[in-house]
Amino acid sequence: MKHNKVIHGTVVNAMGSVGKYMPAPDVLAFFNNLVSAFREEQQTQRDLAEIGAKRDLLIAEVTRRYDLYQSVFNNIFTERKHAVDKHFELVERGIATNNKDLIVHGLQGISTIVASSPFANIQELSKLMESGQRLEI
Amino acid sequence: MKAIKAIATYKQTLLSLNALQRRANEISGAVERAGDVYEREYHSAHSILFPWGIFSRVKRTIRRVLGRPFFNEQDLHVIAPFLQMAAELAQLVDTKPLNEEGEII
Repeated sequence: MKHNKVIHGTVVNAMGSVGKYMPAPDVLAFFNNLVSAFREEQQTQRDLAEIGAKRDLLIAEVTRRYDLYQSVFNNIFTERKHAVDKHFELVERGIATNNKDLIVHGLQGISTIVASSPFANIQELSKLMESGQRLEI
Repeated sequence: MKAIKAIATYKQTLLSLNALQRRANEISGAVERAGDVYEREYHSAHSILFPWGIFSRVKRTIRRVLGRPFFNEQDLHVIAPFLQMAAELAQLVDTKPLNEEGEII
């Protein structure tokens, strides 16, 4: 309280000293403009902070979505590679035992996997991801 | 907002390119390995069907001239699985990573 009185006194003194150089109404207008500019500056700072926060949020959302899709694709391709490798093991076993049926069976499995699109259910997957449901891959 | 949209578009493009690269690697890897198997089986079938090289071919040609088939029933047991392998390899080779519109499939 005492501190505020000191500041008030200082401001009044400052106004008094400024009054030596310009008329009193102009001094008041000057200080009003100064306060208004200060408030505007504060509002601008708040707006900037809000825009910055929104930007960070949006970038985080974009990155999160990208990482999620990347992770899903990684899992899909890893699983397919694993399946293809298993079929090639069958083929190798067929070659080792001279079992033509096993070789043909292995190659059929490989061509079925490779011919099927890894992105066949991508629309469905996108919907699930947008809905925020838990995904089991 | 424009910058964020640009970042999102860039990330999406990067994701598509990564997916396309992995798909292309999957197809080319499978074709390459299946091609090796096919080649090995081709040599194996060829050596069974033509064990004496040109003489085996002459023997079969004579057989055909005499009105009998070039390949007998026993040979067909060698050829049939080999044809199936060729069909599977052809299917692998025909697998396309992109459709007509240039979208990843």
